[in-house]
Order: sequence, then C-alpha cells, then structure tokens
Amino acid sequence: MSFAAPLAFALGALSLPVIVLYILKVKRRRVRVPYLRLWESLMVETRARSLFKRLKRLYSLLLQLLILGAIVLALTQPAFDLSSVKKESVVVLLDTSASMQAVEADERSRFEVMLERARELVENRSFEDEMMLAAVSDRVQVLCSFNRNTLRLRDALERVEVTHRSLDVDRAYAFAAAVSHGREHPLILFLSDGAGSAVRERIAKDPAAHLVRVGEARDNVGILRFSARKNASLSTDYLLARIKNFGDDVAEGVLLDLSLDGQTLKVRTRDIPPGAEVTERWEFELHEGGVLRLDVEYDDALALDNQAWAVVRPSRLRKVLLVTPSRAHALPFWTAFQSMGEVIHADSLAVTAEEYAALSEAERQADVTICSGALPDDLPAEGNLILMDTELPDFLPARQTGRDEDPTIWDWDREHLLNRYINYRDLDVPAARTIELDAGEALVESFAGALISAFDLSGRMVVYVGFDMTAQLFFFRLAFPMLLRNAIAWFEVEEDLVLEASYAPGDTIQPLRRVAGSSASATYFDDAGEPVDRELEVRGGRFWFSDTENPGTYLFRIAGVNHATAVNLFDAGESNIAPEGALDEDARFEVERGRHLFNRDLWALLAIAGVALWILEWALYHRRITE
Amino acid sequence: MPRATTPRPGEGGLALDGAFLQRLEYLNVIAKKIMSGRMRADRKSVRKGVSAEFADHRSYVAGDDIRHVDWHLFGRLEEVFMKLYREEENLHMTLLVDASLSMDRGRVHKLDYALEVAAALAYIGMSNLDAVNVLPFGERLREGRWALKGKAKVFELFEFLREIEPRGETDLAATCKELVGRERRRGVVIVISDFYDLDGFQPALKFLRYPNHDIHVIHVVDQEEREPDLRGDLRLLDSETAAFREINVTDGLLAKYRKAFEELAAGVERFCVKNEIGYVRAPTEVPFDELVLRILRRGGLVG
Repeated sequence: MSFAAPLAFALGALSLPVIVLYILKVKRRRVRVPYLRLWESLMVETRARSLFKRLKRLYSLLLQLLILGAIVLALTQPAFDLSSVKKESVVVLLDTSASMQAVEADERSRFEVMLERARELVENRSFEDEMMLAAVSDRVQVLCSFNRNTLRLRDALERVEVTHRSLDVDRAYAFAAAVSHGREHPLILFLSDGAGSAVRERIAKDPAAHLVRVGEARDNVGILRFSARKNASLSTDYLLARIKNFGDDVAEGVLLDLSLDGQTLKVRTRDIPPGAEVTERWEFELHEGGVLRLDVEYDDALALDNQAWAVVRPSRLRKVLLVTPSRAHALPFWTAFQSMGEVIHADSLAVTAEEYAALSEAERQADVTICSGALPDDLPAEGNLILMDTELPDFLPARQTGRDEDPTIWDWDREHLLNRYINYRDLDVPAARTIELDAGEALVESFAGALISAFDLSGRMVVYVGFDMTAQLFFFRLAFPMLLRNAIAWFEVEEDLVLEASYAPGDTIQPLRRVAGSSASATYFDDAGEPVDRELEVRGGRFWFSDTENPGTYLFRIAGVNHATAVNLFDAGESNIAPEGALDEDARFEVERGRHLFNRDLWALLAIAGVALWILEWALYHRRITE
Repeated sequence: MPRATTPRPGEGGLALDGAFLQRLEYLNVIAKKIMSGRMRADRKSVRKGVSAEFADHRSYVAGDDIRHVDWHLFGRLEEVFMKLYREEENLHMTLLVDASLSMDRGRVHKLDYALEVAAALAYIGMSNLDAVNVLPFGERLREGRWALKGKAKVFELFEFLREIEPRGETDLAATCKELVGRERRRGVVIVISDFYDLDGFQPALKFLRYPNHDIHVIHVVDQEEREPDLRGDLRLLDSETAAFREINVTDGLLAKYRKAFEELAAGVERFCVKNEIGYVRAPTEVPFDELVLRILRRGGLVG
C-alpha cells in the first residue's frame, strides 16, 4: 500500500483531543437535587448493569478513535499498488469541436462517447497521477488544473460542453506541451475523433502524447460554402453553394432546399458520389434583400453542417445630381440615366453650373454628384463624387501634371470593381487632363499619367475622369452606364458593407469600418432558438460582439440602419467526421492504462467506513441514553 | 453554601411590596366573607378566666376576688366556692416555615413560595387580631417573630420574611420539640415544608399534638421534583448534605422516580389524615393566593 499524502498521518495526533473530549463528554454533569435519598432508593437496580455500561462507553471511545483513524487514512490517500507506478502528469485534451456532435450508431453523440472515455480515465488513473482537463476547439479552456482530486475532475467533466467551433490542433497541442513542460513523466491524452485535423500526425513526434480516438461514424454530407453576391453593375444576385459528400457511399437524393425569409425559392435534388464536391449556383433579382437559408436534407451523422445562411442586402436607388456647363452637355447623361431605372432614383437632378449655384443645401444632397466639364466652387459636403473633365479640386490628394492631347492607354486595373465589364483597349481617348496621385488608385493610365483615378477620402468616394467621355458617344453609351453602375457598386461596397458576409462560430464580429453612434444592438438566437436582443457599446466607431457560438443569422442595428450577417460552420475539417486512423493503434495505449485498474485509491472506502462507524457510535450512545 | 440553581425572584428575596400587600388585603376580605357569622372570641379558650360564660367551680383561696363567689352555692352548702368562667381569648397561630437548603430549589423557588403563603396566612391572622408567630426552621428553630398582632405589624413581618435565607438541613423533630417547649398556649400550628425529612416528620408532628395544638401541614412540592428534567450520566448532589451519587438517568429510571416521589407525598398525607392533621399539598405552580383561598374554603385553619 502506498500513501499519496503521508503528511496527513500527522492528523493522527487528533486522537489525543478526541480522548480528552470523550472524557469530558463522559464526565458526569453535576446536578443538585433537593433530596438525594429518594434517588438512592432507585439505584440498587442500576448498579447491577453499570459494568456493562462502562464497557459500552469504552466501545464508544474505541469507535470514535476508529472514525478518526478512517478519516486520517482517507486523507493520506492510500492505495493498493499492484505495479511500480510512476507519478505522471496527465493533460487530457477534450475535443469539443463541431465534429464531436456527430451521432454514432448507438444514437449517442460522439461527444458523449468521449466524455465516457474521459470519465474512465479519471476513475482509472493511478492515485499518484496529477491530471489536468482542458476543452479544446479553436481555443483552449482549462476545466481543471493539475490535481489528484477525483471529485474535482468529475465536476470538471460535468461542466464541459460541445461547441460549434473548429479544432485548432496546433494550439491545443502547444498548450498541452507548455503546461507539461518541466513536469515529471508528462503524458498528453488527446480525446478526439481527429477528424480532418491530422491530430495523430501533429502529435506523432511526441512520445508522451497519445490520441485516444473516439467515434466511428463516417457518413456526412456538409455545406462547405454558401454565399450571396449582389452584382450592382447588373442588378442581379448570385448565389453559390458547395456541398461535399464526406462519406464512403454515394449520397443519393440529397435535397437542396433554398429559401428566402422562410419562403422556398428553389429545390434541387442531387446524387453526390463519395468524396465528391458539387457546386450549385443560382441567380435571382432580390432587390428587397433578405436572409437566405440552404438546407441539405439528407440523413447523415452530423446535422450541424446541413444548414447555411447568407444575407442578401437590399438594392438601394441612388439620387444623382448632374452638374454640366449647359443643358445640351447633360443630354447624353440624361439619356443614359433613362436605362438605369433600377439604380437611379427618380428624384435625380441635372442642372447647369449656374442652376447649381441657386440650389439649396437640401437640394444639393445626393448619393452621387457628377460634375462633367464644370466644377462648382461649393461642392456638397457629403456624398460621393464623379468628376469628369473638370479642374482638380483642392481636397484630392493629387496634382495635375498637364494635358495629354493624344493620350494612349497603356494599362488599366482589370481587377478593380470600377473597371468591371469595361474594356479600354483600343479606346481613342480625347485630350485628357493627366494627374499624378499622392494617394488613391490609378484605374486607367496613359504614358503621361492617370486618366481615371479613384479616391477613398475616409467616408467620401471620388472618381476622377480626366477626359470628356461624351466626346465619343459610342464609347460613352457603352462605357458610361457601366462605369456609373460600377461606381455605385463600389460606393455601395464601401458604404454599406459594415460586416463580413459570414463568420465562423466563435468569431468576434466587429465592423469593417468605423460606425456612427455610441451604441448598437444585436439580435440573434440563443441555444434554445429564442431571440435575444443585446445592446452593444460603440467606442471609437467600433464594437465587438462574440456571442457567435450558434450558426444562424445575426442582425445588428447600427446608427439606425440594419445590417445582417451569418454564422456558418463551413469547415471541411469538421464536416469530415471520419475518425482518423485505425482503432487498433489506440489499443496499445488502452492496455497500458489498464495496469492502473487496481490502483484505485481507497479514500472513498475509508470515508464510507468512517460514516458507518459514526452511525454505529451514535446508535450505541443513543441506546445508552434512552435505555 | 451555593444558592439554588433557580434564582429567587427579585434581588435575592421576596417581592413583598405594595402589590403583594394588596393581594393580601384582598385575601383578607375574601377570608372574612368565607368566615362570615363567626366573630372574634368564637373560639373558646381552655383557660378559665373571666367572661360571661360559666365554666366551673373551685374552692376559694385567699386573695380571690369575692365578686366571683357563688353565693347561691354558699347558701346551700355553706362552703365558699368560686365561679369560674370560660376565658375568651384570641387565636395563637404559629407558622413553622421550612428554610432548609432543600427549599432553595424549584422552578418556582420553594422557600419564596412558602414565605408568600406564610405571609398571607399571617396577614389574615393578624388582621383578626390573632397572635401570630412566624418561625423559620432548619436543623432547629431559628429566630422568629412572636405574637405579631394587628395590621400595623405587617411591615415588620415583611422585613423579617425578606431576611430569611435558606440554610442547613431539615430536622423537623428537633424543631417541633423546641417549639412545644417555648409555646405552651394552645393554638394553630401550620407547618410549611417540603417534608424531606422522612425519618423526622412523623415524631415531629406527634410532638405538636401533645399541647393540643390544632396542626396543619402545607406540603410544598415543585414541578422540578415531580417531573425532573434529567437525562444521561449525572452526578446528583444532595442540596442539604452535599452527599452525591453517580447515576445514569434513563426513561425507565425517571418513571420509577416519579412513582417514588408520589409515594413519598402520599405517605405524608396518609400520616396526616391518620393523625387528624390538616394536610394541603401546595404545588408551587399554583399561585399562593389561590392556594390560601383553597385552604380557607376547606376551613378549620384560620378565622
């Protein structure tokens, strides 16, 4: 027998006060009575039994000492040791990532199976082993620091919960290695399915690390991507989804149910071969916007990746204020606006420079102000600008380098949103003002300088075109509407895109740019599916929201405007629930652990013995009193 | 000597104050109602003296008052006889109060209770101009108050009662012997005690019968004695002798004790009945004035 805490034997000295206290307890209470002779007449019979009663008192003292002995022994944590057990410092990493939600053949979740294994480890560990429990996903949460207290370890296992997050093996292992460093006989046990995360490969070099693999199910079809993209240039919404069959068999009759705000938009059925990935595309005109949901209706082991959400932002009509030197100059623009009814607001204005001067501040307010050939002195303070063949305003970080009478385009930024669908090749550009940029982006360049430039002036977007596009009407009719649409799309992206389209579970959501106001609110659904409203404090135009454990849609109200986003799993590693490696490899470790089966600590038995003795002592004492 | 576990009410003494006096006066009025129709001098003295009622004759001796010569008898017998008349006298009441240490106990302090009862009876007697002796005793008769008469003496009585402290053992026989030696006039003797003197109380009461005293016993019992709240291993100390016994008090033993106590009290009562001694058991939980009224209604004690 060994004792984990032999110092507790010192508590045996408590036997002395126990004896003293017992003597004090046995010491008779002194009571004064008016006439003792009356009592003496009754004492003849009781004397006969006094010897037995004295013996009973001795039994009682003996039992009390036995109780103390049991408690002291329990505190020393004795154990029968059938082997030469070495003291180990065990770090148990519990995989709480999304794949652990997979349901096994016995209808239990993989997480429950893992917890059962963890409990076995706790119960069967050597009494000398120190054990630490940590839940790992894309983060590490220590459930119980190194200790030998089985109750605390059990309690920690009761508190652990599965998450919807991904597994970050590197982070988990780095943590385990760090806390084990310098400890005697470190042992890292990674309880995981190892699904898609190459756990075994990561820990293979460390002889102290073992994968305790859990889970058998492999059948899963999951959504890897689902997104909606608004093409403001063409006023359409593109939807794209990628679905993969991670199972070993063909997934037949996989039903794809696409809905917008609860109303079914499209239903498709697909047969997906094992290991194959299919890409689905849809194209809609969803001007009103809404929340899209894609459901993969297929009976597989992991339900979490069978739904995905995407947010479609509503289209917004833009008020355009066109300023030209004369009404005739405005005519081609006005003709172009006629065909852009889905983009241009009906309240848009076309005025001459003189008329502009007479406009009130309210009338000058527009989403886009286009100045072609004329640059008013008092441009509106807000709103985006498209300046075409005008003087370079002072607030633009650029300098006019001259005038290129016969500019030749030698390059343009084909990736830039503003140049989408526009081909500047072979364009016979009229005489143009060339500029040199201190900031901003040159979208179209000639040998003399930038012909078309874009500037993001922190809140105000400016497109500067150095030449008169209407000079060549054929090009204008083709290119200007597209440039305007592209510009509006660019403005929209920069103006309205406050949040990412999708986040992973557990991500922290913060606005992509600074927002106005001192507070914002978030509406989302909790674990029970109930809507939750939360106020968020905005500091310096930023807020942080981290209650993103549950996949679904999250609505934020920022400065009076609603912005929605979605939280989706979209993790091939988690959707690929097939456990890593063969189970046989893990059996070796199980056998090794088996040697501790008889190394159970005995404190619990001793504690039970102590309680039983206490009950016996109480019964004896009680009997002595009431007899 | 240590004091009782149950403290005496007030500042170590009796609350013989104005309120107490009011209660006594009320008792006195009730007593007069109960005794209505019976006036002073109703009690006939055994001593012969001068009064309206003829009692006997005796021969003349020199110095006799010739006004009491029975001249009719002289005429017939020619011998001088003196007419003797029954002397009318006031009642002589003696209150013997047990002030031993055994009375220094009780949930209601027994000595205080006994003194309250004694005060009430004495007050009623004194109001009737009876001569009242209040005599505490323990191992022997202690200093007491003799022949208190009239209400004016009540404050002297209270002062005296306040000073009575429990001490010593009970020796009722020695006490009564001493009383008989000092008080030869016939009267009413009321013994107020717990009678924890099993060997001595019987000869003591018999002693009192020799002078033809009218004897009454008030047996003070407290609930603590009838139903002691004792359990477990105890060392019992006798409050009078300091003797002790170690005892294990169980439910069974308690039942036996209760039976033994009841037998003890019944034994005192039996003895009293057998010897024509008035007996009243006085549980201390019964208010003293209620007890006194109970005694009065039974009659034969005062008035």
